[in-house]
Amino acid sequence: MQITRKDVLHVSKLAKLYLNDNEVDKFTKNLSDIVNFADRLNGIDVSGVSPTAAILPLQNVFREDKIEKSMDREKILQNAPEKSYGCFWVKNKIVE
Amino acid sequence: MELHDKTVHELCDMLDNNETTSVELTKACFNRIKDVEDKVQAFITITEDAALKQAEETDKKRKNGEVLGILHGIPMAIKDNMCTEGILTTCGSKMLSNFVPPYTSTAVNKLNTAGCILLGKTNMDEFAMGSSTENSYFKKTKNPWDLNRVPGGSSGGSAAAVAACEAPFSLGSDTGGSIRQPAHYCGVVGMKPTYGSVSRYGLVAFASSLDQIGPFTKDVHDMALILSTITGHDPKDSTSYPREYPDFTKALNQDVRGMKIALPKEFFGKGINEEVKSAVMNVAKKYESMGAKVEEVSMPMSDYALPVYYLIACAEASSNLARYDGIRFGYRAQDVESLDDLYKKTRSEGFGDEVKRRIILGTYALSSGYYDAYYKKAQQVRTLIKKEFDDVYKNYDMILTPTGPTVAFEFGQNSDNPLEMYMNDICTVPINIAGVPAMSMNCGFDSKGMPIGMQLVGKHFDEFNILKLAHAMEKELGLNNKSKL
Repeated sequence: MQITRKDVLHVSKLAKLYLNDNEVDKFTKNLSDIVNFADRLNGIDVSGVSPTAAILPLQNVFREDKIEKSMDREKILQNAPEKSYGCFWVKNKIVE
Repeated sequence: MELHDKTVHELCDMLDNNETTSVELTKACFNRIKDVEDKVQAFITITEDAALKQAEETDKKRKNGEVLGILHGIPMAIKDNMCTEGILTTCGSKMLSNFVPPYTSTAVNKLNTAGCILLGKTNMDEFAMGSSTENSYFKKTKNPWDLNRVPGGSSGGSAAAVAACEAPFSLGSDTGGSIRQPAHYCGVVGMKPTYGSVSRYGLVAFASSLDQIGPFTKDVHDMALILSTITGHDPKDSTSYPREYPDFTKALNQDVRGMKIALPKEFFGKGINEEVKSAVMNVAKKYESMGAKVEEVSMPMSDYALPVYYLIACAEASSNLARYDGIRFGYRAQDVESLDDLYKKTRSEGFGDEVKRRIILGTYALSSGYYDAYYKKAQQVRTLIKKEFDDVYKNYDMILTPTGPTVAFEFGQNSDNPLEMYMNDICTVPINIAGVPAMSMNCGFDSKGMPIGMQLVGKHFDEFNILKLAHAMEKELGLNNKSKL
């Protein structure tokens, strides 16, 4: 299948990435190559085959419903680019 | 032989017999690092002061008769995608170039608790995406056997650190071959354990259904020691498997007579270098002469493993890497117009080329209209690949293959063509798709003196027999695995 610049721009929007013209060209070619390579899967009959998401027979792993000590707020915030009043801080330019 | 040249088990014996101290060992490693690190460039962060302090405390404890475990006082290096509390953990990315984790990953914690000393954090392809460590934001690690060649990837720093004797052992992570392929390129032992046997808690996620932590060591005995320490169920990782994990050192010095080994012809076919092929076939013959039964089998589905791997790994990565938004930790872009602009600018400036490429492929495979054709299809073929492994293991104990199609390649050789770069993973990705354990071990050298790796692939949770067969072959081959660096 042929991937177009339009496809790459659409996907980059979904993935929250800005791409410059060079990157759009390059990724259009790379994505076409990889998708064409992946198209070899089309020859396999998978009717009735259930998909495998995880390899081990583990399902619904629960823990006891009891309160345990969680991480200190300071530790959680120690890597925040900006913080204030014990919260993550983002400038109020977010209103569009 | 100098201290830094020795294996973990030799150093353990020396410590137990009071022939050396942890401080002496740790200093020997840092001296070695000072001598060769300019050339090898294996480390992103070196933690010398903390290590020496920890070594002193470890020695004090030993003096007081308080020995924490077999590995008490042994230095180690850790791939920079495993969280270490208070120590920079970059994942080889600008995105995490300032990230100091508030907690320690379970695998590293187990080694700390056993008394190991952290020397530093090793270089890697950004977010573990690559086969040469050329995708690191920070530096290019060199192969200690030939500094013009790549060490492999993505755990290139951890492999090179052990091959250059900067660290007695190290940890890496393997999503599609990122431990085994650099072990093959650098002539060391590298194991990807069964999915679920080593906790992923605190490992920066790339593709959650494929990622697994494992060791790099100088020999098979060391592999058994480290593996025995890091395996085990962890309530903090819901994909960690609750079962008894054996003492793997019991696999050493065992008879391999009567074991059944399968050679899948697809792993010896097109694209596999002749010298690599003949080194692995030589091993197969030796196993036969040691009394094992070796037979050719066919695994036709493995031809589809590479596209299945790239679709699944990239889809999971695009979802996992959505967390890097510039809000809570990591890099944040400046001068933004809106929240959406903050996200996009942060991610565009913080991620490198290969990471963006894989996010785009993964987002595409998951996007409306393509999900069934690509992601779901890949998961269905995954079922068929896994079944093919199960079928082989009905009649055989082990699968033997080359670890990669060629020996280590030169810098820049594959970096312009992503698809050609991905071909280096052709022998290793089927193993992650099936979730089985596999180990690479040096089994010879090519005409230019570069190491060649063989790969032993076992049943789920059968690392024991991998080590048994590997140890027998290591003794039989008696190779000198030391680079001339």
